[in-house]
Amino acid sequence: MKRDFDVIVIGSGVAGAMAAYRLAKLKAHVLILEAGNHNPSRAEMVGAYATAFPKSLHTPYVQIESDTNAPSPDSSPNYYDTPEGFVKFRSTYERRTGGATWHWLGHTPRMLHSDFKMKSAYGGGPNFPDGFVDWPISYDDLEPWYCEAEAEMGVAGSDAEWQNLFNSPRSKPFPMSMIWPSYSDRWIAEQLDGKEFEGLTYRVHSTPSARNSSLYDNRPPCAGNSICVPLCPIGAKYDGAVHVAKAVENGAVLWEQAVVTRLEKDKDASVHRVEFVTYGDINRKNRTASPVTAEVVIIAANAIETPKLLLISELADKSGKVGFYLMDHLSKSTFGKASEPLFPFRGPPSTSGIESFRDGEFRREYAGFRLSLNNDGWGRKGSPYADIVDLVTNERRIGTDLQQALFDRVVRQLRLSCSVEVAPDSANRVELSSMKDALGILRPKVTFAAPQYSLKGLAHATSTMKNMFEILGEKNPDLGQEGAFDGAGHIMGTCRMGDDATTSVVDADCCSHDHHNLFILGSAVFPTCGSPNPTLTLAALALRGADHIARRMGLKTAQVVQE
Amino acid sequence: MVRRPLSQQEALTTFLELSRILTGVDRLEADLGRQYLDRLNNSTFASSLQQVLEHFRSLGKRPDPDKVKQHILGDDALRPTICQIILLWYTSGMQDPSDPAGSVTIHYGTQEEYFSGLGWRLIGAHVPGLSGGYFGHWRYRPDNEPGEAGD
Repeated sequence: MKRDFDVIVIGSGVAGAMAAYRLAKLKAHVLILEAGNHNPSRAEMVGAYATAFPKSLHTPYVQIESDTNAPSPDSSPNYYDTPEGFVKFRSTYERRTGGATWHWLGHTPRMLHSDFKMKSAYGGGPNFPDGFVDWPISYDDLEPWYCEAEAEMGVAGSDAEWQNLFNSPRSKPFPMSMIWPSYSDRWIAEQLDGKEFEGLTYRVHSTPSARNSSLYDNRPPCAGNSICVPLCPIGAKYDGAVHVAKAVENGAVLWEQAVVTRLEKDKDASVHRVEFVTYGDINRKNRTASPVTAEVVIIAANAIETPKLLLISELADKSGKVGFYLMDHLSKSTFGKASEPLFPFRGPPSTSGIESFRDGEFRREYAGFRLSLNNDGWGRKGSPYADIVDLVTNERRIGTDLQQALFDRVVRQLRLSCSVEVAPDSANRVELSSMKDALGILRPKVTFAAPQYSLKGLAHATSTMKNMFEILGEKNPDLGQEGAFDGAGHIMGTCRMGDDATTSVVDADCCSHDHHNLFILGSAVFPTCGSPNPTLTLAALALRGADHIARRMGLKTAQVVQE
Repeated sequence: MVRRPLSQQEALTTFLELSRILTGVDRLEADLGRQYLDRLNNSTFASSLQQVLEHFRSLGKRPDPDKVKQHILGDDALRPTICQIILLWYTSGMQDPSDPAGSVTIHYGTQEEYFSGLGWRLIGAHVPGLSGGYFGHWRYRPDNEPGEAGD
């Protein structure tokens, strides 16, 4: 039967955009369905950021039509239905062409060798969560695709610092030399490097980032405009729209404001038919009315929207695990003052971190974590506005006296933060709410509570940051409320990958166990998450998945991995 | 004696002269000053601002900053307006006096005003969103440490 397209990709974030690009480049006829759109433009968004309060994640992206019809937890604070007795899941996303990478920080550390085999490496003890599993693929399997993803996104990093970190070797150099560590990072490294805490040694590393350190892929080098989150004003930071454009250049078709409502399976359990609704003013030229069909369907909507769509469509759920094992990273910021000026509020918000606590035997008992050194002072606590108000109102300072006092107040401010691994827990999940959005589509009901294993990791991360502050000259840092955490924006799990079709949703190639032509790309497939930012790993998996799809379709592929 | 209200030009001149003392920055853009004056006059600070400007004029030409501190900043009723004038020049933000305690709402004006905020340079930084710098400048101590913005 003749289908409308070879491949339909649902969602134009990093995973969907990269897969669409790779397949279109191989001459597949690809359709991308995106619920949001590409408006406002980058220039308009910079203007919106400048004049908005608060300067939140969604500030630049306000767009009434898409916010109304394709709502997200960014545009609609009550989008998630939260069960009684639970705190609202804190991590959010945009529904926009290019996806949530528009407002990501851009950090791209890889997962570690051990992150892929948590159960066999550290399992068996009484305090080890039973949700942990081994991935069906290893670090070595994914390593060539990490290199591919780094090249596609344009990752800047230090080969010397990141070679073989925790037995996780790199086969290729970073595409660009590192984003330079800040003045603050360098001073902190002088104080910390080589010192020990809880038997582990501090070592400050520059953080690999999908921000250009030189002209790359026709995008400029980072100018340190300091607002990667929520928006890079100049496009030096990678976002998914880069690969949407490349996909379209290679012949892919992009339909924006097309919200997928349901996928239908055939009698043989294959999935070819995608139903969608549109809204607002769109160019209908060359558009097919819903439904649209393809040989292969890829859902790359994110770890909330993907299970939502599968549950609505009653697909891929023979295991009964769709929506289960939702993960994030537990994030916490702490504040103090260094003994020397650090000159914050310059450069990217974070340029270095400490990887020393990501792995070790302690993971039998509690979660590993990354630590970030940040360049944004106490901005999250209202600085410098609050300082100005206090100095004028309470200290009665004006003129050059005020200038000097403000300088003295701000230049030693330091924020440290952590990102703690969340153990997979079947109680943390995405279900369908009984409530509907403006288009009549069921909204997600999201249940999340931090596992004890991860809260113990958070406590260790907090005491580590306290120790770091002591070394840096702050004896009484603001460590926040004990056990309190924020979301990291790293939404993972809900369609876990595995070899066993009775306990997982997709196989090692991201193909549904239940439907031979339905693929799920994105961090939804992560069985476990380690502590690194997930985007590079999901990009590597998407490229690997696209390669598998291409081979199945008989397309001529480049040889990334020796079969 | 009933004082005549200040003309627009007199108000602007007075506002700029006061602003120089409050901010510690000599070279202030008159156009920005006009915009900030308009915003203040269209806010709940309007009546207090008139008192501040008249009080300032009563201190004579180019008054000593200590006099401003003592006679205007020292006045509980006028201090919030003084703080607001400084916040405008430093950040382009206006606070809402009706905010309940512990809650702060900041109203920004135009993009031009936001990107002209002087306070960032006073701390050796730049307005978030516009560094004007080259790749890697954050590796070094700032060039403008701790200089006077606009001078």
